Amino acid sequence: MTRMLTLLLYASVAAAAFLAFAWPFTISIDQSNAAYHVAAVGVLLAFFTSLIVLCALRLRSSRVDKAN
Amino acid sequence: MQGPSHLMLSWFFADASPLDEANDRRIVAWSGLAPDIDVFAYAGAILWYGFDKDLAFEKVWRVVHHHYTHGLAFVLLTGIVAWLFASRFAVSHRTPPMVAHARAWRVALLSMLASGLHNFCDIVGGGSTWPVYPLWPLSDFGWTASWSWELSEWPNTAILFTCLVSTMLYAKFAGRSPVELFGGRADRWFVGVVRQGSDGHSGAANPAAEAARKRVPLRLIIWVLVVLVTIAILAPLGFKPGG
Repeated sequence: MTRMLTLLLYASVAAAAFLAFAWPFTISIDQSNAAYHVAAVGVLLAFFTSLIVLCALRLRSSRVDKAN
Repeated sequence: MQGPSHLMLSWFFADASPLDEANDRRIVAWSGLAPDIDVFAYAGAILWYGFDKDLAFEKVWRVVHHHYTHGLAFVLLTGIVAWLFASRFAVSHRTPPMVAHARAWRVALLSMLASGLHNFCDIVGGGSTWPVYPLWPLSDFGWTASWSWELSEWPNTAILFTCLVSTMLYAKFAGRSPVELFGGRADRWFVGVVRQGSDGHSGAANPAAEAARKRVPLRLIIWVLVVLVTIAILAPLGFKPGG
């Protein structure tokens, strides 16, 4: 599960970089493009979700390590 | 998105990656804030124009901000600098060459991702009047989204508060936090203050903890500082909780 979440985190950050640097040159230069809006919010949600869950797992493992 | 949010998000990204060395997390986190290094130009302009902030804003900040440091070229530069720092740290810790090499590349890649993420966050949450310049210096094409949140809108405030609360939780439960960006001693002090009185020992069993409780209530001071820092960040932006 951790591996999949880490992959999701990296994928969302790579997608964020694509949306920031490559989208206007490869997909559309329209700043009001609805597809861009949907993609950006989706990427943001994927990033925050994976980040929060991974950090929670790291916190849990830190506590387990401390308890042992 | 506000600078402290960029910094804390990048640190959490580094920790979740996962990077176990504090120095590696520091490099990635500072790389995530690095595109805002142009703020020094604004600070210099304020001095240059005799503390006339409006003039400095019009003459320098409006021209400079995002233009030269929010693009692919700066992301690459960040990666190179991160690789140099990571290599130096690895050598100073006498890490085996192959391991040091792989570690430096990983840190450099994560630093570039953090810097790229900064640009994306500024497109989404930096306001539509502040575009990024993906191809500068090859092109002056500016890119933003027409629906981008202003800095003072609630999503940015929610992200900032979530990062601050997460910092406290990390300090309490993991024994480390983004405060390590300002040095190991600062982080140990912060963790000690956050954990003070919550270690489960009674005063009789742990005289040091009891003595600490009797000293100045540091935790209260920290909470007040967090609130003051948050106000200091939000007040100049004209906080709009209603969005």
